[in-house]
Amino acid sequence: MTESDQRFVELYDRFYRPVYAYCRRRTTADQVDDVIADTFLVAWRKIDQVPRGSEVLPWLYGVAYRVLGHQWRGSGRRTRLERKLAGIGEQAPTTPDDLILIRSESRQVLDALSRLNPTDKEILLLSAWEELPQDDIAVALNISIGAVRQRLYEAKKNLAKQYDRLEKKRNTPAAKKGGAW
Amino acid sequence: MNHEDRVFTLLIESNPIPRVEDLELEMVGGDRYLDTLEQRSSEMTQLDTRPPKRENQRSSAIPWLVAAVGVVIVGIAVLVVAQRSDDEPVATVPITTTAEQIESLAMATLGDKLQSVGYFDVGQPPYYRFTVEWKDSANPDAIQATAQELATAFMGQGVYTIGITIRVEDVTAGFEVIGASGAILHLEDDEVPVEIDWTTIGHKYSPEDFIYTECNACP
Repeated sequence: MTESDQRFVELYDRFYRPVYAYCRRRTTADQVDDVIADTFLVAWRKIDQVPRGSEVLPWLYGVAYRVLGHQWRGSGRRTRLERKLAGIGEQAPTTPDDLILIRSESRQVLDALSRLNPTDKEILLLSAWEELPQDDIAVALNISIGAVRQRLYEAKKNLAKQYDRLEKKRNTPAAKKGGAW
Repeated sequence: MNHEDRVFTLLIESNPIPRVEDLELEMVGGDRYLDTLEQRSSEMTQLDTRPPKRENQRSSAIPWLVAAVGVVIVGIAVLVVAQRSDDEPVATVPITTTAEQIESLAMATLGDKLQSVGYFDVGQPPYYRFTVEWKDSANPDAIQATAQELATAFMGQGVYTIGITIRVEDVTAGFEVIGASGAILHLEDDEVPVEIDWTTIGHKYSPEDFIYTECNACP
């Protein structure tokens, strides 16, 4: 086995799970395998360009993000994904207990998230769900740390704004009565 | 904690897979996966070099039909190109342009403004991403000028910039240019979806044609 092959094997064994989780958080179970396959295919082909150390995982996230982006652009899957993302809190639970635990606030925040533009959404998710620090987000999105800081700040504001809009909508008398008729 | 942080905390708590360790996965080991990749790669190579199969009699009408349609399409394309050639000479479409060529051209054109060039070969045709950022706020004129600069440079080298997307970021005052080869440029804001029309490959536009002409989101 060559040195490159050895490196790929290590990379695959070590990062398959987090990459799987990343993809599963953003797409449906039936599509996740394809996205992962494409992501690791890119890693295999470009193994010499894969960064070393702590930048590997954000680099893989970046590839997966682009693979997902390519899918969305390809055939209008973006809309479907947004619907999935909006309902992701409903898909994830597997037990009745989980279902009970889902609070309306969570649904609302996911709904608010689905209304953001893709960049805002991704930067928030990388921070909130992948728990990446800002310098790793910069690697994943191929932008500067300064840009990450600014965008994250703006994205949080936009998320809160959308959340408030939904809240307001929910609390209008028409919504409470179930319609304006 | 302010309101924005509270909403962000809600988002953190809404993570559908909070712990990666809890995932129940049936994964193959890296070495086995590598074998599969290498095997597939070798199969693909064999497929590429294999001589074309001879079709049987019954299905032989289909290739002819496809060829006939192809001839008509090429004919129309030639007519379109001929029509446009009054204004400018038409170059061939260099589909084989390498990532390195694209990257060096972008660097030569944009200089310090170019922050990064991303390239990935998922899908056809290959796909390039340029991230450009200014230290100070960029106004729409600066964005337009840079986009035009880039497009003109590509065309000057016989590289068509197709499916370019400019994504204007409100605060960072940067944009991303996404494209491969060909023509047309969208200005994307939050509401405009990124849709690349690959059918425009080979169609020649002048920079003026594709700066801001296809998009309602332009400033």
